[in-house]
Amino acid sequence: MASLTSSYASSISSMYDFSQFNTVVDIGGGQGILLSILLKNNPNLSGILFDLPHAIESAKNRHINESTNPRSEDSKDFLSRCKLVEGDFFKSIPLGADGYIIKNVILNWDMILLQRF
Amino acid sequence: MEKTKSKATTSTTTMTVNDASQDDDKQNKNNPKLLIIDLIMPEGNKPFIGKFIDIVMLALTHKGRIRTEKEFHKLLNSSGFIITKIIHPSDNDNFLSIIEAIPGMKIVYRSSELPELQSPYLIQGLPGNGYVGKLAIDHLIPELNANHLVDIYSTSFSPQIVIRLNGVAELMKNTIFYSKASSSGKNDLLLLTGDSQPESPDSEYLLIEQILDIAAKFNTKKFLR
Repeated sequence: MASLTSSYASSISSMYDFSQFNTVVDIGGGQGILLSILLKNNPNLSGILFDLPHAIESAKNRHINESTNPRSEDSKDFLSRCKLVEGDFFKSIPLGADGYIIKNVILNWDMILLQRF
Repeated sequence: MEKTKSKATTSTTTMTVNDASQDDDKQNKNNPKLLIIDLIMPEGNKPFIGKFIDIVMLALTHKGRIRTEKEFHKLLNSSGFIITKIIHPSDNDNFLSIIEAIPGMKIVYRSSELPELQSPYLIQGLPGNGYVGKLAIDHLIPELNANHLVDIYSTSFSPQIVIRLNGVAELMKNTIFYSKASSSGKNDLLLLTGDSQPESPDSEYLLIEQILDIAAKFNTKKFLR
């Protein structure tokens, strides 16, 4: 999904005005590929990457590894403007943001489960 | 006549629970939006990458699927969201659409089994100038022994509650009742009443969209007000 996302992320970023938001939560955001592109293209935006613990772990590894690479300013910038939050979206999601993204997640679930969401 | 006057026949008082005087711009900025970024299944028998993924979802998940635009409307409306914009992909490398939705309306059918109605006429009587339409509908409902069909709640109704005669406090809502014609071959009736009308022209459009959807579901032939 991460490699799929990187090919879509910049066209998604140009399809919609994400600069209208202060904070965007990516629910089920995985490694944060989409969010990192959105933050890069919208300097005033902050992000919250929200996913299950194992996905957040993998996101941390990816961005911390990349940020030790002197060439990757993007990952450093991403970590400075994005909070990484573990959780289960069927139980609760981070409150207080003005944009909530849910990408390639709805298709995995039945209507009845989603109504509880 | 103020829009938010309590329902004349069944309630006694209205009570303000929140001060509505907020700066509009600020409110817009703080109103959260939901963006669903996903494939949308096109209508018709055309090749589409999502059809393959749909079959994968069938195999791998419990009732997961690629949804059509209609299915997204149904899903979001049943969870209290209104779709405000759908942006389809414009370049060939990306198949994902963006669906923008805002929380704000809840459609609650009284029963999961919907009645079969015969080319109904919808009569509207919401509180407004003079209160005449609403009084007429509130008279017709018990007179025709009409059945409660659906309640529509919206954040665009004024932030007040209605205390019904039995002492129960309820949120402002619009309600549609239905009444079967006394003999076959005649048109059944849908009766739209409510405690309030939306507070802004934008939300009036969103609300009427929902009411028209409900009317279309029952093959409504005519609107009267």
